[in-house]
Amino acid sequence: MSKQFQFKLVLLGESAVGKSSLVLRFVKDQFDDYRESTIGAAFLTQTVTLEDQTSVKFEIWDTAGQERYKSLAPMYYRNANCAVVVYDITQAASLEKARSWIRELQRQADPSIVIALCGNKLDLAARRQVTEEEAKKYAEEEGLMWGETSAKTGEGVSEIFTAIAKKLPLTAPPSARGAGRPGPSSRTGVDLTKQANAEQASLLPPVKRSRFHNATITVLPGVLSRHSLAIPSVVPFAYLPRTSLVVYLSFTFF
Amino acid sequence: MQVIVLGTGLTECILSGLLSVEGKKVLHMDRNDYYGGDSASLNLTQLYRKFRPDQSPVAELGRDRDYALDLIPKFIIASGELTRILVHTDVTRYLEFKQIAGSFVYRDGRISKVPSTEMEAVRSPLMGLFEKRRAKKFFEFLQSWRDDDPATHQGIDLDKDTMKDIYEKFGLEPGTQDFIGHAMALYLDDDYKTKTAREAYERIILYTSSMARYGKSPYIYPLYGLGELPQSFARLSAIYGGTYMLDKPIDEIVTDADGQFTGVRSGGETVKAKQVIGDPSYFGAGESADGGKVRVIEEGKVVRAICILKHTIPGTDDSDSVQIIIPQNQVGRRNDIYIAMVSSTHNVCAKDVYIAIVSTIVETDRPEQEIIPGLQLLGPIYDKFVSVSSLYTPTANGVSDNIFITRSYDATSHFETVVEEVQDVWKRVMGGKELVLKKREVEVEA
Ligand SMILES: Nc1nc2c(ncn2[C@@H]2O[C@H](COP(=O)(O)OP(=O)(O)OP(=O)(O)O)[C@@H](O)[C@H]2O)c(=O)[nH]1
Ligand SMILES: [Mg+2]
Repeated sequence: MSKQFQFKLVLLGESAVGKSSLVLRFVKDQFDDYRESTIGAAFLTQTVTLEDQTSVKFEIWDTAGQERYKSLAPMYYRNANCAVVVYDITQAASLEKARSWIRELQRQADPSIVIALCGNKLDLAARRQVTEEEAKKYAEEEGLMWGETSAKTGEGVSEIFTAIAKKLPLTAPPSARGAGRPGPSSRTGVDLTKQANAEQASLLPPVKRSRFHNATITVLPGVLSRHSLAIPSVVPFAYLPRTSLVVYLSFTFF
Repeated sequence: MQVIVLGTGLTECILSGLLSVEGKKVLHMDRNDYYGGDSASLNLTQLYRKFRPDQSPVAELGRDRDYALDLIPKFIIASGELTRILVHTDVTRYLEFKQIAGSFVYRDGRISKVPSTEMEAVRSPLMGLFEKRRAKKFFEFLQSWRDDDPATHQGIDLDKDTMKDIYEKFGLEPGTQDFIGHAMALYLDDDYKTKTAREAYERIILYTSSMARYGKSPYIYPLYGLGELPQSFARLSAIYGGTYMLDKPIDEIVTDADGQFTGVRSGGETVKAKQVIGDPSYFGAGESADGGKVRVIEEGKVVRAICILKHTIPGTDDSDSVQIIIPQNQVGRRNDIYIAMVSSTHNVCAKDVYIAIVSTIVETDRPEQEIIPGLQLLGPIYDKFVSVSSLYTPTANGVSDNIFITRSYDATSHFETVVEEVQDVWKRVMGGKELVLKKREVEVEA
């Protein structure tokens, strides 16, 4: 059986450095010269399959512009397994911004987070303001991964994500594994699916089943986990059928 | 800008998320440098800044980043309206939930678990044997009720008869009435007894369906604290184009000669918009209002004590999270006292620390004394942060001046009234249109 992992990846960096463009290139292999500032689909997933058949699914969070006025919610990078901090090689100031994001992550994010520093717009190398040496040296000092990319030509894009995919399963601590997203395509710390089933068992002793033989018990398995909660078409999310009330009430005051 | 939203409390964030999804251009501002307003969860540094500005947190409590302390104690009732909104907006993808392990009720000097399994019910000391039989008849009546089938009505009319009438018909003891009305229907006082029974019926159904949903208690709770809720809806808003600005002092609500809203001034800048929505603190609550106009009034006060414990609450079987309700009659009050406790299981504090919030509606001029029956149940309290907050309500509905002010967070134990408020404000802001939740897909799967 090949291993499967799932990780939360967040993008950070100054506005217009190309965060969304990098994601678009990585996920859909497209580029758009006149991209609007991020709106809409800011929740994307992409799976990378490594040579040993390990598959790593990235759940990619784009900032949705909330960083623009220093208003990025801590929720954004909480629990992130990896962060791609992007700067624009033609804008020296954008590296400064990247440094401040990295400091913030080191202070607030999970200590095991994998951080990749990414210099984008490599196709505009003629207008380069940030040298490779400078960025690389900084990355080494801080223990970050580093690479240069062009979302426009695609150069370096899959390389940087693949490098992260290779590094993550090795570095994600056991706590993040159990409590975090990984494991075979489950994403939550607590296996709420199991918990709900266990509860079902205790709510439904066999004796009772015969007494209320025509009452269907609806304990929605796993409904607490983020994924299943998010699929109302499968789990009709209205109040529970009355039958389960019957069971609860009758159990309670028998 | 079409709408400016002031304050990033849960009510405002849900509204701003839904309005952005609807296609409105929303600018959302907060004077604080954190999300959540009154419904924020704070780390220790933020908590001290708020309650004890001249002190810094004790090192013994551990790392700052491990703390997310709710200011308002509430849980999410599993089958309630907030859960529905979370699901329909897909905001669930930003959150993880855990159950609250148990719900307890105080009776005759001790606490007992609200039964959630057959075994617990059989053993429950909450009622004697004969009373259990009477209660069973009462619950069977509720469970079999069908509006369209008079045969199930047993001569009762939920829309005419009061709860008192129904309790009497089934011969239920006062203690059982306390249990049903306060621990299940979650009424804070006894006024419901003299009102028609429909609402109480619906509340009991909500409670039991929520209980049946996951088993242990009717409540779920987001990892990292309630403050995650407003942040998630803020993200929804941002994804749909909402603009966010924190740490923005709001200096003036600008109106024209007719008192109509025109914009909001922050420092030297004025942003113009058609409508403004905001929490009472932006509209003169506690201070003198703009131009002497009273936009919000106080309708009561709530006292809340955030208590840091180093142990679980005695008598709760070491539960990592609980709700305890002390019905008012049990302690000679008009309003119930609530205890809500969460812990490191919910990623809101360091390991082996437990956070209990004791709260009640203030009835006297010595609010701290009023919560003593709750505090006494906690065992030794390591530290305690007490606040008394006013509950504000707007004086106008905003329809004539485009100023829509939300209400303060009340003393109920869950978010159902918050959702009612969202629906109500939505309708007024949208010129009478009801809030209809449409499911949208925001994920792009490669
Ligand atoms: N030449 C070139 N242009 C790029 C590259 N990546 C992005 N751009 C352009 O840079 C602009 C900004 O790109 P976005 O991807 O929207 O940047 P962002 O970081 O997501 O910006 P915000 O969403 O505002 O934070 C767009 O006009 C892109 O077309 C690149 O590699 N090369
Ligand atoms: Mg973008």
